[in-house]
Amino acid sequence: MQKIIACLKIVFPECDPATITSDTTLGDVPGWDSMNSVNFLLELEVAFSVGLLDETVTAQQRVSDVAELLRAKGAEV
Amino acid sequence: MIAHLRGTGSYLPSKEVLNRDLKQFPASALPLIEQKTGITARRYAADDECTSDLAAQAARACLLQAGLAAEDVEGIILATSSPDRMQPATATRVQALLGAKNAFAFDVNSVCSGGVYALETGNAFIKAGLLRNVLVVASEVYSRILNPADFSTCPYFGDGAGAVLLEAAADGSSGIMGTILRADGTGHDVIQVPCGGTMKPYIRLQAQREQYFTMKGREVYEFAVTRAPEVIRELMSATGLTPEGISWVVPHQANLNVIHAISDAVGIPRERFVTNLQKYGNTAGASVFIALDELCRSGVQMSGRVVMLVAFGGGLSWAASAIRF
Repeated sequence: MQKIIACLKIVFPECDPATITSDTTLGDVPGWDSMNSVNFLLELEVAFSVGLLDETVTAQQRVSDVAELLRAKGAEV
Repeated sequence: MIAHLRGTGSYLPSKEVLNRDLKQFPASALPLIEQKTGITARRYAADDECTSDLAAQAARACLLQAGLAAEDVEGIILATSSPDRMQPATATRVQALLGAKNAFAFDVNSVCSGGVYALETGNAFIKAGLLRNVLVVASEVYSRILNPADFSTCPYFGDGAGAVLLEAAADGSSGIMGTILRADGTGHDVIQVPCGGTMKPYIRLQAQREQYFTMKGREVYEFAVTRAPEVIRELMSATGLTPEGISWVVPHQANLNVIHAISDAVGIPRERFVTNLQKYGNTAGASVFIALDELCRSGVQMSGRVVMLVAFGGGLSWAASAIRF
């Protein structure tokens, strides 16, 4: 989970990692928008060495949903 | 003395990059570019072209239209936020490329408001009686300062240049009617290139992304849809213009949704807002001059018509200028 939070911090520098939990809704991350959601996917790709170019993440999803997506791609979260 | 527009010009590099050509991003994300901004393509400078090359091409087109020889230009003011080098002023290479040996040359950097800021700087020289003419150019090569892996900036910008030749006239029936320049430096970090200046020289670079252009998208949107209508209203009030008296608004070509919001806020119909961002993207400080040149060359009757330029961008800065042709 910490690696996902680290990716969020890179893309959304204004977010405070201490406030992010698995229940955090992505749309509540400061600076979140649909454009930067793509950057978040690209950051996850590098951090977890998985292909996510066909995936999307939305403001309604939670951090735990991202973890589930990564696990489905074979990544260790 | 009043400054009137004797000529306009623009230059767009020939290399066109469509949204689908941005293969570094997920294919599923590419439709977002047009949905969120209206942009379908942009132009990128060739490898051997830099900001001054684009500027010189636009300036040549402007001088040709105006029928003025380069050696008769008295001053060159170049708006750019993507200069050739940190020093010297990019305008000096433009002067050399044009052979405008009798002109002084310097740069203005007000990011996306740069064209209008430079125009008003030139206007001030004319109104003060210091110059008979001044060539105002705006040129940007953002393709060199964009992070190719950043979906929140890379797809939205393109390269291009525009130019306007201002000339002194005693007759006040046409020319620049009024201009308002505004800035709010508390937003200095909303749009920035973090590294490469004295605040953070390259030797202190911590991550590659710091050398690239960044912006806080939501804040920029809120800023633009607030300040642009505000300055248009303020300039209408100062010049006695009404929405009906403005034939065209030439806005900074940032985002079609922003332009529509400005149109709705000031009560000037969308069809009177000139747009070309669909094919060129956001060319930053050059966008207003490029769109103005396309309007002037489109064959519409310009004589006697009023055009309002409005721009907004890094600084934060924003500006508007009303011109009667």
